Amino acid sequence: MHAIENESAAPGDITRCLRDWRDGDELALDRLTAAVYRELRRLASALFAAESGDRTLQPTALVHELYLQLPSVQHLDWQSRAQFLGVAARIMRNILVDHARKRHAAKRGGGAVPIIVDPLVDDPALKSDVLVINTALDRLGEHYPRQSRVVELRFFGGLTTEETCEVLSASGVECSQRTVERDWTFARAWLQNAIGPS
Amino acid sequence: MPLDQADSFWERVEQLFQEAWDLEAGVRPRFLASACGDDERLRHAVVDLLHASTEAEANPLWNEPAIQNEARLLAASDDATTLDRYRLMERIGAGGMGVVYKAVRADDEFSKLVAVKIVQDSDPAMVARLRQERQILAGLEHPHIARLLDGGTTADGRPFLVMEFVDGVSIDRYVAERRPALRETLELFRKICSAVSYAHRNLIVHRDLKPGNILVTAEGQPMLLDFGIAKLLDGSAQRTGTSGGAMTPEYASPEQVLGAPITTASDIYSLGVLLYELLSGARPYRKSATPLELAQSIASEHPQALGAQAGRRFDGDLENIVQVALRKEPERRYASADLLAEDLRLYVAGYPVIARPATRGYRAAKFVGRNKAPVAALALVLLALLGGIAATAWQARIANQRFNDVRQLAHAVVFEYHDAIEPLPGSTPVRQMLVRDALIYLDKLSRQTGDPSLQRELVEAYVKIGNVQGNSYYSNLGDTAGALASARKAVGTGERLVARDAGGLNQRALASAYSSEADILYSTNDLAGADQDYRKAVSLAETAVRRLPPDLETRRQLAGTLRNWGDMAGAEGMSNMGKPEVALARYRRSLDIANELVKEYPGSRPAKKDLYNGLQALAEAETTAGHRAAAEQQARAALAMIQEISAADRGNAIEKVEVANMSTRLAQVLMDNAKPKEAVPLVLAAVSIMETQVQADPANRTFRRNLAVTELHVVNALRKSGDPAHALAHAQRALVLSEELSAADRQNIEILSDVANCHLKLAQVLMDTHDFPAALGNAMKSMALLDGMLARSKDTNLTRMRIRAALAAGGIEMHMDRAALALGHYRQAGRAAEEIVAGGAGQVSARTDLARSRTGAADANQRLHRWRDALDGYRSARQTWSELRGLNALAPEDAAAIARCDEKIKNLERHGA
Repeated sequence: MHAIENESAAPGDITRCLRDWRDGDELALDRLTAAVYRELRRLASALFAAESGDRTLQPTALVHELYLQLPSVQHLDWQSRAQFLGVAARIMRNILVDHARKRHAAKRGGGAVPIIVDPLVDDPALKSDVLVINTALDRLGEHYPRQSRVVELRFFGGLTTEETCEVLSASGVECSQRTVERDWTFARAWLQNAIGPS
Repeated sequence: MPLDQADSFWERVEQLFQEAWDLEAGVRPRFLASACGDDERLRHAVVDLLHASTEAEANPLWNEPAIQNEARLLAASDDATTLDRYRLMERIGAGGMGVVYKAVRADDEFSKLVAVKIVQDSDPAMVARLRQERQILAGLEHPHIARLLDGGTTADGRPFLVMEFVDGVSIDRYVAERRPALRETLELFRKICSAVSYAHRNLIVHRDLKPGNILVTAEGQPMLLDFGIAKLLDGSAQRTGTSGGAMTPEYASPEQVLGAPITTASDIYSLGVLLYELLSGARPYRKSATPLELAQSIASEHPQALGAQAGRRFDGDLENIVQVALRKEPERRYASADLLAEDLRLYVAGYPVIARPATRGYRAAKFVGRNKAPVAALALVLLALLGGIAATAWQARIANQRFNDVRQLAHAVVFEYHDAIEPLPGSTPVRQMLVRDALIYLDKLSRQTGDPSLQRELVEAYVKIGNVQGNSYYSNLGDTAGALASARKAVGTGERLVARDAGGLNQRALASAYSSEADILYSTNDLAGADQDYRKAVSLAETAVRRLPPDLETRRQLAGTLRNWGDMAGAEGMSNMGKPEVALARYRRSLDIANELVKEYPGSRPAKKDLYNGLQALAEAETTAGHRAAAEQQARAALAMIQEISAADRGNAIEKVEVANMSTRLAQVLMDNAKPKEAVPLVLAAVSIMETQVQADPANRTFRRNLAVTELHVVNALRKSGDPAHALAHAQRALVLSEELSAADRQNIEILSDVANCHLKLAQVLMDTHDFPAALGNAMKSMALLDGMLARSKDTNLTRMRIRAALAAGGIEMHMDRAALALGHYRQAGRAAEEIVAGGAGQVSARTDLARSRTGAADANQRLHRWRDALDGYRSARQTWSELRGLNALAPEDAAAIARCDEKIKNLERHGA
């Protein structure tokens, strides 16, 4: 977690991007994403490594603090911070989907030295895979945009109920922590139904 | 359905789900039946969701962020796969940079187990690390390092490597559970040292030596694993010389925790921690709450005494060894893992160890009454210097390939430290290590450049190592074959050098190579080959002397080569070509140079030693030529000179040995001059010096051989003084020593001839004590050995020894009243002696042999009543005796020989033979 100090976006940049985005500049989100992507990617890598290696690390706690450890974030005001968390959660979702795609590509054997999935080993993890959930989440969003957003923030972004509520409020959605809990329960059921029994 | 209806449908689904979910599961069907009415689609949708929601509650997937699941899936996907030809079985380890799986080769019918290490993520830094580990392991082949078998790249570009699977337990567990004896633990540890040293010689620092990285197999063999953060010291890929914080803190060295450059000395430190832990079960520092505290302890605190935490006491030497390895300053630790291992070996064997605070009491405690304190001091100075060299050398390599630095240091090792410790007792193996390590540096450097001065140093380094290995003119390890190989490399490199540029310095280097090769060939009795090399060496050195500005070294080298070449021409007591006059001429040339140098450089000890060498060689040659008065004078001068040199430097083993040798030589001259009683104390003093040296350096074969040869001189002196009982004991001891040496180095013909000589002396002494059957047995044994050697190579000294053995056998047979057998031996001896005399060699000794053979044959003929042959025999014997008298070279015991012949001749003539 020490490495991020070198190439992180300046707080001014993040604030400006967020303001522009709020003012309807969709390209500002791309700029912000580009600025933050690298750090988040690196943090995510650290987490992947941690999961595989040192099991004493607590990924939940790390994910929660992941965005907030970006030094530039610490200087944001309340509203900007909430907006930033929303963006970060979306970036995180993209990162995870990219990662899962690569993992699948690797299993299919796209490279010179293929990794062959042992046919004797069923892959129970496939059903709860990020890619499947990601697709289902898109469909959920068609009918339940707010619930879908809650899943993005909590599940992909790793935010707490309180933070999720802050992000939604900052983007003009009226909500309470109870609403977030209820949305989460419903969305979770919907997604579980979509992906089938575990 | 219309849009607003659709929206309201999904709204209804959510609303009913939420209401039903808040109810008890049992009442939900009734609630839904009433709420949905006949809208079956709505009811089914909500029922499905309620069902799914229950399922979701039990599904751990939703209880944690997606990233955690993704990470787990990543790991699981690796677990369940076959990688290349390897089926991954179970994860056996994970670290900062990768995961290690136990695996089996999928296409291998023998199901050989391997270990596969894979980078977890395609982070470029991690990928580069693993590739480097692969590169490092590929260059390592050692019985105690887990071998690299294979390597490859996964589909997503992550490299992996396949290693030998080591089925064992970590070394700390092994020691805790098995509780091996101290000696076994140390043996285990020394094997690890050998692996680490091997890595260091390949310019690799492990940087993470700890029990977890050393497994001990069921067979009790330690295996070093995980070169994951090892560093290739001459790798151009190195960004920094510091640790990057990747090491395991408990085993990290002070320089590692301080972020200072890492050298091989850092591994020595970690080995020290490991040894500490294996011996005491504890770590060298108090338990620390945080890594920072620990780092502070490592950087600044003195390690606790070995037994402090275990509540037991350890031997002081062992404590010292550990403490030297754990020193804060890298340059004050053991200079190499080999030295650490060697010190432990010395400890186990009960010898004084190198590790020692320089206190005065220590050596005295080990060797009561002997003056060894300067040795400990010098050894410590040497270690300090070497540690500095190693550290600086490594760093220099990392920096800008500034190999001049390394070269200077290697040069210093070969030319200064080697020479500084050469005289120390027990230094032979250490010298070999020093020169070998330096040679490796030089070899690597020389491949990078054609720099002639570097090539010259390489020549000298090969010469030195050859001399340590097996040049009889130096303290050596008795490895004649290895010595010859090194000398040939020196000659090869030197020849290429001179072919490119025949300058004086190059010629001098090549001369030195030829001279060394000649010395070694000489000791294998290849006299023709040695002669050719000496001739080249002298010619090259003479040219170099003319071309170079006047200096000490070039002329000393020439003087030394001339002297050795003189030995080969006709040195007494060594194999030689039987040309004493040639020897005399070469010795005189050598002595002239030495005299010149002592005048030009009055403060130079080497010049004084050359003068001594010249004097003693000349004394020998004068003896051989029959110039007895001159011989005694030169010998006394030589003894006085070497005693003066030795007195000025009492720790110097070579000089002490030389005092002993010279005493022996003077004793010889005194015996020739009919003063055997003066000779006895000289040879006994010589034996006492030789015994001291053997005890101080048991691995040194030259010392042992010297002791055996000196014992034979004692035998001579005692015999001639009329003390055969004591002579017998010394002769028996000489035989035991020589046979031991011969068994260990069968190529060495000089030692084999020692064995033959011992049997001969025994035969003579036993004859004195009238034990004729035993005497005869020894004489026969001696003759058999000599015949075997002479069948392979003609040699004057061996022939002369053979003559004397035959003379002894003849004398014994006469005593046993078997004159016919005696006659056979005497005739054989006479024929061989005639050949030598006819060849112009052995003016005195061969003529003496001839006279004795003829006298013996005449005695036997007379006993057999062959009067005519007896008379002829005495007449020819008398003539040879009188020739000797003419040379003023009649041995004291033969003083009456002419008178006896005259009387025999008179008697035989009177009886009308």
